[in-house]
Amino acid sequence: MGAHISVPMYQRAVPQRYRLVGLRCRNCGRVNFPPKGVCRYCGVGADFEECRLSGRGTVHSWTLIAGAGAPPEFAAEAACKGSYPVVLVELDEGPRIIAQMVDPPEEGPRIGMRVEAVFRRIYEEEGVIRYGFKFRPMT
Amino acid sequence: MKQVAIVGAGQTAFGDFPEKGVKELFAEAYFEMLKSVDKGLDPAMIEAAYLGCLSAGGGFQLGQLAPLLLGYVGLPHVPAVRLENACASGGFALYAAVCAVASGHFKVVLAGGVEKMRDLSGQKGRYWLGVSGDTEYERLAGCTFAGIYALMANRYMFEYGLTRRQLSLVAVKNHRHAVANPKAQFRRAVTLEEAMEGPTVAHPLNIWDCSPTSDGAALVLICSAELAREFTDRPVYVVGFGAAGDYLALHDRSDITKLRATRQAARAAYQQAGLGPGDIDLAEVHDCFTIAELLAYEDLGFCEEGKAAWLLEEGHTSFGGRLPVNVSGGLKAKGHPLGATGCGQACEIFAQLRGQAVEPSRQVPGAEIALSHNVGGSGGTATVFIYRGGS
Amino acid sequence: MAGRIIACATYIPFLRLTRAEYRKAWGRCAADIGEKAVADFDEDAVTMAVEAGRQVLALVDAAGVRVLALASTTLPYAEKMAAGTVAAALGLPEKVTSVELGTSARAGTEALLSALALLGGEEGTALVLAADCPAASPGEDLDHALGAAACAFVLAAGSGGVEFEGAASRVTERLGERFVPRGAVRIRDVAVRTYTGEAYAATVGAVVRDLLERLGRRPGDYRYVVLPQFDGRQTASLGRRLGFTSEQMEAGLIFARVGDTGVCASLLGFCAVLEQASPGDRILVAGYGSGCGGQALSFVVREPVLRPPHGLHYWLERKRYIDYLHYLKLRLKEQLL
Repeated sequence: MGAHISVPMYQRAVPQRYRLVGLRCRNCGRVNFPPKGVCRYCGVGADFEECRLSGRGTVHSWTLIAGAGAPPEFAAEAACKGSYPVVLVELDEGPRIIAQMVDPPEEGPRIGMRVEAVFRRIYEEEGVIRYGFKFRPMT
Repeated sequence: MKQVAIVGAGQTAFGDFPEKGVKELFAEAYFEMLKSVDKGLDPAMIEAAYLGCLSAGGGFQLGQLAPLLLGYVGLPHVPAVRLENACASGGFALYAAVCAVASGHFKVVLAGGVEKMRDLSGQKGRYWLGVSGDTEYERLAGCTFAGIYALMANRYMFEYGLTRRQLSLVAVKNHRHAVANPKAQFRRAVTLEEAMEGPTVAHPLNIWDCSPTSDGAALVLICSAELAREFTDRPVYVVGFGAAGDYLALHDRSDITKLRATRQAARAAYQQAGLGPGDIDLAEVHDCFTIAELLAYEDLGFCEEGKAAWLLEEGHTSFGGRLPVNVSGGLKAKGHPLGATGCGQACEIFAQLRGQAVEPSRQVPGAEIALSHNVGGSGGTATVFIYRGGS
Repeated sequence: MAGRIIACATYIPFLRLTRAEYRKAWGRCAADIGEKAVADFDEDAVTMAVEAGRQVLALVDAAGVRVLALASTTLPYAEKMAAGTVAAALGLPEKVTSVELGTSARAGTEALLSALALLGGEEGTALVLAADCPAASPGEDLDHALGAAACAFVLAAGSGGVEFEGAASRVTERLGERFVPRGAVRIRDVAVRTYTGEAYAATVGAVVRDLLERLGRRPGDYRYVVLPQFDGRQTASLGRRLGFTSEQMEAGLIFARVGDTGVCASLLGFCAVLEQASPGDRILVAGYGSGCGGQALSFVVREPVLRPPHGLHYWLERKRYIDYLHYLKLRLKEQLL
């Protein structure tokens, strides 16, 4: 039993999940990620152009999800890893996004840490592997 | 706009009731509500019902829950609707009911909620708990609700120097409050040491920082103020009510150490009531996690930004303090049956403002103005109500 | 078939398992590894290929990629184009000509040759991605060596760069050497060490001799020789028998630090060599698959390849050691899901 994000729904977000495609507002120039219908910054722009984000950013906050508390579709991963970090990252282009952190340092994530997006398996449902981005400490 | 009053309230105890389903829980709250109406209620007067419930739709495949419940208590023809707004489902049921009466369209309505969470396997429970956040990104980051509040907590700790110990003090206070509440799920105190050393759920939050999963139901009877005296000489007036929303996902909010939805709902409620935070005698706030109660102090204006821990440590929000918060035990210790929570808070306030707290030892003396605060998920929605005792 | 390599990159997963952990768990380690790389729970051949691919695409324009050759014996689906996943993740043009190779560990060199052929001397570049995380039953000796890694190469037609000089290839029938039955995910073999050693030496030896003969070269003409590495001793021993010195072999020997990386078993060493080769150096790299076939390719360095900021050394040093129990959970992942 996993999060029922249907395959077509996941498919529609492939540009975001695979290569961080955001929307630049033609009114205020700021980048919306994930995409919005109306610009999250100026509140009026509804005309956008696609842009690919660098994937680099800074940890704004973080947590460690303990094994027993993981959502069911991540239970196996949590069982395997013991726990896994989740980070809220402020991307260099402005928007914030949440994702898991991979290859964390022994002492765990910290606020202000520089990270970069990597491509990983997120979870599997209906036999379909859902790939997407996670973050890794930058060196 | 019509003035609105609460003239009856009933709730089950919150907790683990394997022998009761949603219908039985609802009926129990309903009959207690009927009994609470001092001058009696002819059920035929009930014109509509607004019920909060989260897990019924998918968890139990009971999409049309509201008529099922109303039919069970002999009111099959009352127009009833189930509202779903995550953990604020109950608050929004109450909000809808209050709006319906304030508008003059209805005169007597029920607002309530019910949740049956303890039937679900751990896995299914976690599954359903996850559906009220931002499923597309937060959930797929492997993040739970505890995880989302943990992100807020870590940031708040970073910005304001809040400590692990101070988080635990919220749990200690609310558990202490719950001891005297016969409706509470955990009527047991917890020591600071215990609360600090529970197993981690989502760092920095441990099991003692998290509200439980609970079964429970709560109902209040709402009527227009002009009718109130037909039911009781001690109505509780809803003098201010506000609801607001925010970006569902934490990553879309510019400041994650505040819930903007709470702030906006509170502003509306205070303004309508013509009251301010300093006028509040007691509050039931949404402490789904310890950090949430601290954020609520600031968002509701009980203290300045960054001063929540001080307010707590000084004892101002403990029973006996100048602004007792969650004397019921809160979501943390009274329990958190999602859809029932918001109206459960109203039940507690109904009793407190009428001097009828079930155990006299937990009655807040002389309370006249109270506030309740219910949050959906991580703050995607929130409701705030301000009540005035009628005596 | 002319062509050249203009860029390369490697990726090695973060996790490592040491020989000592095998000794603790099983009393011995059947492979002569010091340590090996282990793909994490959320990694597979596709994600590792993307890791390597992203690094080279920071050096050359993705829009110019006309050919994509993907090599792996462990693509996550038995049927479904992994090239599409990789292309979407890397932002390659949809008009790219893609091939996927992977019925043996030789697919790594097959991908290089296929890419050169598909470029056909025309404009544009070819992206070659090789990534593998082979697995055997944890109860079998075969598992002890199995590691994980990925490499990426950008090829172009014409001269310059690291020029392709020629190749030799052989295919034959050999039973039971290294195989995965249809529907299974784990490698098996007949567990006869001498049979395995003989098959390797005969197949790789023959194809290397073929190449030398075809190009009229002697072993001493090569500055670097990279033979496929499924076992450290076996590779070193074959090198000696073919007349190569340890100086020629050393730079490309990395088995002891990553293990058997399937389709990367020689390409990873090739990348190590490319990172340090100087103009004028000749490089021989060989591929090998299941006792059934070998390939040997010859290159000459005209100018150094473009390299990402992080070379192989970085990836070898970036690591975290895990214990055998953690490793076992990763190997039994399918049972946990």
